[in-house]
Amino acid sequence: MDLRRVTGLVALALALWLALALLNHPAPAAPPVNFDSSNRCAECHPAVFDEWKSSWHARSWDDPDVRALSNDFANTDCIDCHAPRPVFSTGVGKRVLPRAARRSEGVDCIACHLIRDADTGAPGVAGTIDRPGAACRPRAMLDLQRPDYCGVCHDQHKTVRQWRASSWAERGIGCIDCHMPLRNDDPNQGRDHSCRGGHDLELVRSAVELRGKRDPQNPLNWVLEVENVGAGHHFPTDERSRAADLFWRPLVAVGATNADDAQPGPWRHLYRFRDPYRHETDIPATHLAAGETRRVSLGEEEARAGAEVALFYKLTPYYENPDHPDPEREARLVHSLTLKP
Amino acid sequence: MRRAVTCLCLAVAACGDAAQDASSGPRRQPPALGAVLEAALVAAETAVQAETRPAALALPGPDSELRERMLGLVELLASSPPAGEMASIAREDAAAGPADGALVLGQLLAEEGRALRQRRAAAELLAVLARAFPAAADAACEALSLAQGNAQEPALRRTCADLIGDLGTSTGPGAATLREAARSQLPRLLLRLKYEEDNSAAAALARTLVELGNGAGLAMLLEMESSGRLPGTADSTDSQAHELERALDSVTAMWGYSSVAAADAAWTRGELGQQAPGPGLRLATWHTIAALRGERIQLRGVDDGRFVLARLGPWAARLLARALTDEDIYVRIHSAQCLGRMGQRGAPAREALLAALADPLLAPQAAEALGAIGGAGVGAALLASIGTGQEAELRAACVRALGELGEPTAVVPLRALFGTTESPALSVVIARALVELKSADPPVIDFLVRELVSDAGPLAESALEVWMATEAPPDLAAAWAALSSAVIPGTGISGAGASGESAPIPTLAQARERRRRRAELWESPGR
Repeated sequence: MDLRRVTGLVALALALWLALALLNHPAPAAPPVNFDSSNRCAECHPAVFDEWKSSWHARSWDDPDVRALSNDFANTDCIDCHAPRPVFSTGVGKRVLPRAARRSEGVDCIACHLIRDADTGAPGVAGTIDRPGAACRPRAMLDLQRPDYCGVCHDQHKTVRQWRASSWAERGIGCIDCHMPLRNDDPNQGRDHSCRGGHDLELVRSAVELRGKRDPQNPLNWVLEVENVGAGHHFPTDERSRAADLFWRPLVAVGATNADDAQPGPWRHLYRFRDPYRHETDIPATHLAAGETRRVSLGEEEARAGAEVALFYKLTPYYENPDHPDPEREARLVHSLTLKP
Repeated sequence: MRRAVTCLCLAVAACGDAAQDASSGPRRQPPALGAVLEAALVAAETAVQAETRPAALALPGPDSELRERMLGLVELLASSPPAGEMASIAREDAAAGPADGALVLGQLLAEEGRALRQRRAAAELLAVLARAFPAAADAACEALSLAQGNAQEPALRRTCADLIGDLGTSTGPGAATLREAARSQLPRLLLRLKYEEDNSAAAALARTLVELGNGAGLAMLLEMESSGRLPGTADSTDSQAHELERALDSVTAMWGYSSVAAADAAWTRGELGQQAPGPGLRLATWHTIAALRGERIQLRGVDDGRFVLARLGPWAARLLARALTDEDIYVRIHSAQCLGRMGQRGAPAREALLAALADPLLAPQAAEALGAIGGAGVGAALLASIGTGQEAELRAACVRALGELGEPTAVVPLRALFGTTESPALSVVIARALVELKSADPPVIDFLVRELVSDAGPLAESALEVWMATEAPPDLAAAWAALSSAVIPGTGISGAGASGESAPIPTLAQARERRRRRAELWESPGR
């Protein structure tokens, strides 16, 4: 073998070694991020951050309803879930604990994603891929997708338990499938962090159907049906303050001779779907299980000639004047229908 | 001049950090953790069993002669005029025992299908039996407090509360046993206080708590008086108000104070309720602490436990202090929260809380509890933990605690920290603390005003609410208040502000608009 060939082979081997060495050598890791605020996450993940910012998770501390119902958090029991320590610090499936700092960030990026290395205590984030070189040191953690993960807060009112007893659990459809769907149905685009729930009227509308017909047993009466067709848990769920109310009013106002001339009268309350507060021992739990249909009879004489029926949804349970509730102002219309002979 | 002061503050802060780093030497070691709760429960159980009381009672069978006899006495009392001869005979027969009859009467009292008059009679005979037989005291008090908590009928709850109060204030032979048996029901009675909605039952329960030496009863009576919740047992509104007044007056006589306010203040300061618990109450309290454990996902038991424990006397702080070193982090944290809610009554746990500042998981809650309790050494310990070398959680908690404490030595370090920290979240907490210390200078107020329209808006608004109530110029405070309660044209805002007054709740957008309008108040000419 001549010298030139040997030199060439050596040079080739060196070049190969060098190339392999370069390929195997990890890119220099970015300096670790200081997790002192979820605002840090916006530096690299602005779109996800904006989604979260629009969510009620981000508003869990400044939501006026919560502030009013918790007496401006003087009821400190509420802090546990409204400003929790990182879920991974207490453990998936375990109760969350309250944090002392950054409370105005509510249920934030850090609360859901911060993890610490078991050996070194170094912070990182739970995500869908391992990227040790990224500043936030993400690690793939399937725990993020488990209903028990959401349950650390949302099972306080048995939502995960309700789901587990439903056909949705059997079919393997979990919390994130509805509340954090894939963006554009594309796994590569990740999941929507706006976490739509009871504040999203379209989602509420998709959860239930309202139907009405003559009562076969008593043809003068109407029977209304409300079916939980789209929620994988009870309707309403989670917050005991949530309620859904069936109202009705005669199609032709009393005294009017012509339906076109008649002004609709006030709404009259017919039925309430709700899980009452603990102290409301005289109120039965009437929320609607997944897949369940509730039939409510409307036998008022004024309704026989026809009636308008509506299902309203409320984020807080009480009406300003319980004797004369004004659902159009104090609640949100989910479905309505007209019953005509 | 201002620049010179700022420089001085910064220098002090820097020295503070340096001094802390240099002088504290090796960091305090976290307290050793262990199975404190488990050991305490075992010890408390043993103490109850070792009490020199007669042997435990035995419940007779459903067809027993004793049950028949007790049932007969209940029926006799229930169907007779209370002051009549037949009623006296029923009471005398019940007093003849045996003590096991308490278990039977407890059963009859708990039977929901039974007529109210019979259940009330069973309750009354239970008290008679307990007075006659010390061995029946625990069973009687437990049955009465269970019915007090569970009965659907407010009248029965009221009767049971009254009877427990009577037993708890007994005099004469066996009185100590009766008092202890009644006191051991305190946790259960306090829990009922959380849920009681009937005014007359609530008033009876509150009176009983007062008779057992617990100030939560007094707080309830005062709250009922101020909110117009009248007991409803008397015929007229005037009589009901008078009944409440009499109940409040009886507190001063019972506790030996010249006024209700003085009695309430003494309870708040932790001067009352020092008496060590007997074995029964100690066991019941440890069981309540056990409800704080992390084994259940739901907070219901924790919320109840926190409510009860925070309303016990200073003696309970000693038990909670021990729980601060339990191996279960949930027990440690929730115990610290209870101590914080006790306020000055939590003082017996002060040293344990100071030690807990070295427990990295517990330290923030320990700091907040210390802020509520106060006392010697607390301010210095909190100040030592606000420096840059500490965890953000702990710094925020300590700053918040210093504000709540009204610690005057904190003003200079907090001002310095306010000027140097790069964390907006911490700045808001510092600003709030300075407002509470009545030391918020114009830069601090300006900062809070700017934050009104940021994510920290509710916190800034809440801090400015305090400033408005204490130091703000009257015209500004009036304009601020006008935006709290009045309907703001064009926005539909009529909701509660940070002050939480009763009004329709604004939407999130309305609340933000309210804060924006409030921030604009500072833009007016001359301000």
